[in-house]
Amino acid sequence: MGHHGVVDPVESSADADLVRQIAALPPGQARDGESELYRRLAPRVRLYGLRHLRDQQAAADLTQQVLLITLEGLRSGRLREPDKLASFVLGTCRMVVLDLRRNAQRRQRLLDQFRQDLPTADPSQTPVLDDLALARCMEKLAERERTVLVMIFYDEQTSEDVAGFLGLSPANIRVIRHRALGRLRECMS
Amino acid sequence: MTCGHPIHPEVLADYWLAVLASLEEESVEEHLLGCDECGERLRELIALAQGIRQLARKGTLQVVVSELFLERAAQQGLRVRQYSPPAGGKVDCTVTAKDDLLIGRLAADLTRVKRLDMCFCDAAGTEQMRFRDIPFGPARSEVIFNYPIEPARSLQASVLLVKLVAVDEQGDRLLDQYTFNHTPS
Repeated sequence: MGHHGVVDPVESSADADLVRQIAALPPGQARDGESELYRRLAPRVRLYGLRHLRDQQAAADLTQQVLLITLEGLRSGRLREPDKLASFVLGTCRMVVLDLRRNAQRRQRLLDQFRQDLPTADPSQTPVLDDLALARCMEKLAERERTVLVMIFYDEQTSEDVAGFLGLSPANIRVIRHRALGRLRECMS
Repeated sequence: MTCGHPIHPEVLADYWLAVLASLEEESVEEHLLGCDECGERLRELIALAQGIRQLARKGTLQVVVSELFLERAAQQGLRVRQYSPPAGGKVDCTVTAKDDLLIGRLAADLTRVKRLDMCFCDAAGTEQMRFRDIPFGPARSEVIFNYPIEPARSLQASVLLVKLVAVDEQGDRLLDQYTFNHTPS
């Protein structure tokens, strides 16, 4: 496991403190704390949903279900170790993604039943970029960089496939991709 | 709040592209579920990825593409207009409001080419724009490029002469040239 896999201790301890505060109150009495936890977790769970479901609405549904189960887990004491909040949420995400794929009807029933109890929807969305600005930044890239980004993000080809097309190694493609994305970020900012 | 162990941008890109090994993916996900800073950087990456996809779908980019790109575009229901002038020859071309992508296919023998430039020239052959070191496929027999469709729609009747030029220590060597005779639809 790489060093990037380390859960950030500062952020996670802040989350864990919040979990402890919620757990210290009788079930359902920590509305503010639950809202705050929802506010923190919703954008993170939504990212998980986008990655695995590749759909904004499905990611929003996943977010609601995962947070519902998480809050219910907190109220019922199933989340015994506040420091393991991220693991608990990750496990829940996986379970719900499987469930979403398996049982669309049950999902809708659950959402209909509990929708009113949930805090307001997560306002964080993936930013939408200015097309013209992005096109201008793409034009500034080297030809090879532009082709690599289009093949990877439009064609959804792997580094191996792109490497085969360009006669380069997959490692080279990753380097080109990394450099091109860095230039795009810099240009867009 | 600053992340003490930020996820490397390359790993974030691999994560989004679903090419991480499962253990590494798990550790990245656990981190992301506890870290807003890395989540924000992933969100920026997703926005870039979505933006690139949109530009490619709209035919906005001047970019060398692959046969797979065209297959995917067709699968997505995009209307692709393609022209393949013979080497040294001409083709009459146009573009309509219904077209989504405008593609040029330039057949050439690229087997001994180290670096390939593509030059857009006027009817007299004077170079107007040069695309340096363009990629070409493993068959080394063709260059497929997407011509930005919006500017093409507003073109008057005109001639675009495209030259493929091999570049090495000796300098430029013209491989072939192709003439596109454009008329508005």
